Formats: sequence, structure tokens, C-alpha cells
Amino acid sequence: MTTHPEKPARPGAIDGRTSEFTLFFKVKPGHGKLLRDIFQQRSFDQLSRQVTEQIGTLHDARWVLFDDDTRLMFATSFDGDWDVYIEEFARRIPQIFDDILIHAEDYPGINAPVIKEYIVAHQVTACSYFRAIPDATVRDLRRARAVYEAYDTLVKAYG
Amino acid sequence: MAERTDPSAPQALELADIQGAMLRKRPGPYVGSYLLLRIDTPSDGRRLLAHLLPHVASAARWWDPPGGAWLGVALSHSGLRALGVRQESLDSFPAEFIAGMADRAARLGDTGESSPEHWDAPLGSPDVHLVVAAFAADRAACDSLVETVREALRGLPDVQLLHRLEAAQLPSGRTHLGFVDNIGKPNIEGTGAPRDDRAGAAGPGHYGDPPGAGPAVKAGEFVLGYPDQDGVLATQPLPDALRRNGTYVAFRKLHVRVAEFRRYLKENASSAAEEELLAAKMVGRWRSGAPLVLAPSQDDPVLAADAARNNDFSYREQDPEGRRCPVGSHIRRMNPRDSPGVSVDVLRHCILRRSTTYGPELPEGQLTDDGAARGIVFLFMGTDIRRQFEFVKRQWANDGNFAGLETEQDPLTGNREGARTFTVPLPARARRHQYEQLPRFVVTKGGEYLFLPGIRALHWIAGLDH
Repeated sequence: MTTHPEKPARPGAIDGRTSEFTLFFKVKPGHGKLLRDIFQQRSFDQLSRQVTEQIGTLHDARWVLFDDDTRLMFATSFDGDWDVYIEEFARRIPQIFDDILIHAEDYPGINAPVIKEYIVAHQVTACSYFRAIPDATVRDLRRARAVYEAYDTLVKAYG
Repeated sequence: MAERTDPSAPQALELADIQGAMLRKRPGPYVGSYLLLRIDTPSDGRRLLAHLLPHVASAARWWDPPGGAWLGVALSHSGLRALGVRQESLDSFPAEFIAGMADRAARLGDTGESSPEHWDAPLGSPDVHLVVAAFAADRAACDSLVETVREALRGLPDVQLLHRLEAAQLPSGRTHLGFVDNIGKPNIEGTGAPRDDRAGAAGPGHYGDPPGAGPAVKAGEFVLGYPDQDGVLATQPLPDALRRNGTYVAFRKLHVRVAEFRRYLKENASSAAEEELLAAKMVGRWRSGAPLVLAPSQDDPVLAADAARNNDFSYREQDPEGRRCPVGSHIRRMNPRDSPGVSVDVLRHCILRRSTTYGPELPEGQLTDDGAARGIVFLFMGTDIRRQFEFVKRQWANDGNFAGLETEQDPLTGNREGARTFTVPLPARARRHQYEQLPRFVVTKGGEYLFLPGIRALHWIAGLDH
């Protein structure tokens, strides 16, 4: 068998317009503490928020260290195609991901040609996935909120 | 697998080895035939290739072919197999190409009337091995070249001509819906066109240089053997002799419901001028080709005819909210350029398209369908079918989320499985008009994913030992 970067990946589970995407990594022995330090930095949250803003299709994202900090989970919900997401993933989040995954076993580096295969190899599809409002994308929600706020302003001014 | 290269390294394309159909815009008027062939034994298939090769035009020698006509030759995955290409090589192609367009129908929105069980045979069947495009400036030259191909086939009992699809420019020189077409095209580095690597190099308000062409795109996005936008050099398909200077083609036969389109305009407008404005809002250009961003309220034929200006606009600078050219219009979906809020890298999802019309023009003013087969043969070319063609089709044409339009689709090409609306923001702030109950104007009648090899690669296939 040959490998190919475009080989279809296992998709995440889908509910309405949104998909889940979950990755599991093994932490390099002794690197759990280094990872915890990264997540506790204030700049990490700021950067994450900035990237979420840029991508515009991420509902949420979480990192979880478990099994005595020997394993790491990344889980997120996003609007649209997995294929597209992984593409943007590999292109837009280099620094954050590089800083974290450097502590994961076998990580090839964000600039490695095999980065996509590496991520795919660590994805596990959810057995069950539910959303309260499956048809609302992040963009829809932002717009709905803007409309509500404008309406509220109007009511306060003229109500 | 892939290799990374220095992205700043200059690219020199081997134009003499790249098929002309790929890089060069076909001069008009044109007459063409698409021949769909099945290969039953590799030896006869390879002999046919050898007969065709002298007529295959390269991007270096363009529109000066012997006999005034030229060929383009592309192969499906089953065609590569039928020609005796080794298994290791067959396995090295991308999954979507191996699966074929019919298999990707659900993903492409080719559903309902457009689903493969309704396609025109033999499209979508495993029998379409070889697609030969013969083009010329007139019918006589085209027919003469097709006759040369037929002559070769007479001595090759194990190659069958399954279907011949005639394509020709309409007398108007426009599409069936009456639009001047093929104005915008990507600015591919190293192809001999003027280029500039800096976005907006012509100044604020311009999108790239030449104006409107956008930033130069790395040749590897369109031709295998060169670095792409990420500096990645594709290392598949195998071997290099097959891969180099090749590309992929999404070949689509799309039936266009002209009468339906005309009726929709009439029913949703109160005057001829309003009809024209609605048509322009759907496309993003007036039928003349004048872009709405530069001519928002009425057509401007002088602007349309001026190649230096008719594509020279920036959405970000001139129309961020789509009050001139709706964010949901056809051209803004096919290439959102620098539109605010598009969160992906537009240059990674460029479409290089060649389209030709087929079938007779519906007489002007006729509002009832005459039952004739008419439409467009659409060829998308690029090195990554999934990231380019399928992405544009799925994310930008058949969905609206990227533009904050929920499930609204391309007003021309949408399959109407999403919201059947078309939202037109009006010049006054916060006002918009929503057209409803859009019918299906375009029905897919068939399609194939093809590999368009370089000319040396065609020789390599033709000379395979067995």
C-alpha cells in the first residue's frame, strides 16, 4: 500500500451543520508538567481566542490532560467539512499546536509534509454526538445575537 | 507523501510539456468535439495514444497547430488501468480521483434530477476511459481532425468510440443565459502572463496585478511538478514520468434551463430594466460582463469591453457588504477574492476553468422550454480535486455559511436543497431584498474526474511495455 495525503480521513460525527473532532495523543514521558504550564499561561487563552475568531467556524475547543498527565485529548466542534477544517488546522494554528504537540510522542512538527496524516492517525470518531441547536452555525449564532442586541437597543430607545 | 521546497524559488514551467488545454485561453470563435472512448485492450489503447500524440497541443505552441485543429487528451482512473498502468501507480492517485465523480455525487450536490442514475450515458460509467477534446476555429477543421481519430480507430478494434459531444460557441459569443463568460482567471506564476507576487500591488482598491487577477498563485496549484502555495511539491501519482506536468480535470456536462431562468426574471421584476438588474445581481456582472462592483446601477458596455478595467475591483475596498455585488452572487462565490469574513485562504481554493457551450440557443424572448439539450461543458483544472473543485462546489456554491447566508446557495447553480432564496443587500444600510422559491436552473447531466497528463507522460503511457 502507498500512503497519500488526500486519503479520506475518518470523519468526525455530525449533528446538523456541525461536526465533532477529537484527537488523542500520548504525552512524552515526563512532559506532563511542561504541558500544564503552557495551558496555564494567559497568552495561551488569548491566542486560542484569536485563532477561534480568525477561523470563524469553531464553536469550542478543549484540551484535557488525563491518566496522570500521560495522555492528552483535544476536542472541538466546528461547522462544515472535516477536510476543510483539517486544512485550515494545519495552516493556521501552527504555533499553538507546535508548542503543545512537541510534547506528544512521534510528533513530526507542523511543517512536516506528513502532518496531516499524523493528525488523522490520532483522530477518534465520537460514538454519540448531540447539539442543542444542530442547524445553527457559529456565524448564525453571532448574527442572531447581533440582531437581538439591535432589537433590544431599539426597544429601549422607542419602547 | 510530499516534499517541501523553498517557496521563494522562481518557477519556470515546462510549457512545451504541458497540454495547451490547461494553460491557454482558447481564442474565439471555436468549434469542438469531446470524444468519449473505451479501451478494451491496453495495446490498442496505447496505439491510439501514439496516433493522437502528434496532434496534442502544448502550452508553448498554441493556436498554431497543423491543420488548424488540436487535441487535448485526458484519462479516467479506469482508463489508466485499461491502458496497462501498473497497480502501484494506480493506487498512488488521490482517493476522490480513484472513486470518480459519480461516486462523489452526494458530496457535490448532484442529487435528485442531477444524480448519476439520470446522467447521459456513458458519463459516470466505468466505461469512460479516454476523453479526447478536438478544437478548431471552424467546423471543417475540427471534423477533419475527428476524422483522423476515427481513421486511427478503424485499425484498432479494441477501442470503442462511445459518444461524441459537440460543443461550439453560440452566435452571440455568450453563455446560454446571455452572459459574456470567462473574464476572471487565476494569475498563475510562471505561465508567461504579467504577474506580481504582492496582493493589491496595483494599489488600494485593486485586487492584484494585472488588476483583478489577484495575487500570483504558485504553479503547483495547477500543474504537478511545481511547488504549491505552501511550498509543497506533490510526489504522487507515481512515477514521476506520469506525474510531471499533469493535472486533474473535473469534466461536467451541465444542462441549463434557459426558459426557466427567463421566466423567473420576468415573474420577479416589474420591468425589463429590473429583470436585467436581477440577472446581474445573480451573476455579479451584467450580461455584457461589466462587474456590479464598478457598475452598480446600470450596465456599462464600454467598461465591459475594456479588458484593463472589467475585472479591476476589490470587494474589501469597494463593496465589503455586497450592496453592489451580493455576497451570494455567482462570481463572488466562485472567487470571493478579498471579501471580508472569508476565513479560508482563497488562493488554496482557486478554480481554473474552461467552459464551452453545447446545444442550440433558445430564441431570444422565448419563455417556454423547447425540450432541446443545451448547456455548458465545464472543465475545472487543478492539482487537488478535493481542495479546489469539491471545496468550491460544496462550501461556496452549495452552501452559504461562509458568507453568513446560512444554507442559501449559488443563485445559478444551486441544487435547491438548501434555502431556496437569494439575498440581495440593498444600497440603503440594513435593508435587503430576498428573492424566494428559486427553481433549479442547472441540472448535472454527467461528469468524470480525469487526469490530463503532460505530453511526455502521454508518450510514457503510449510506450508502456507489456
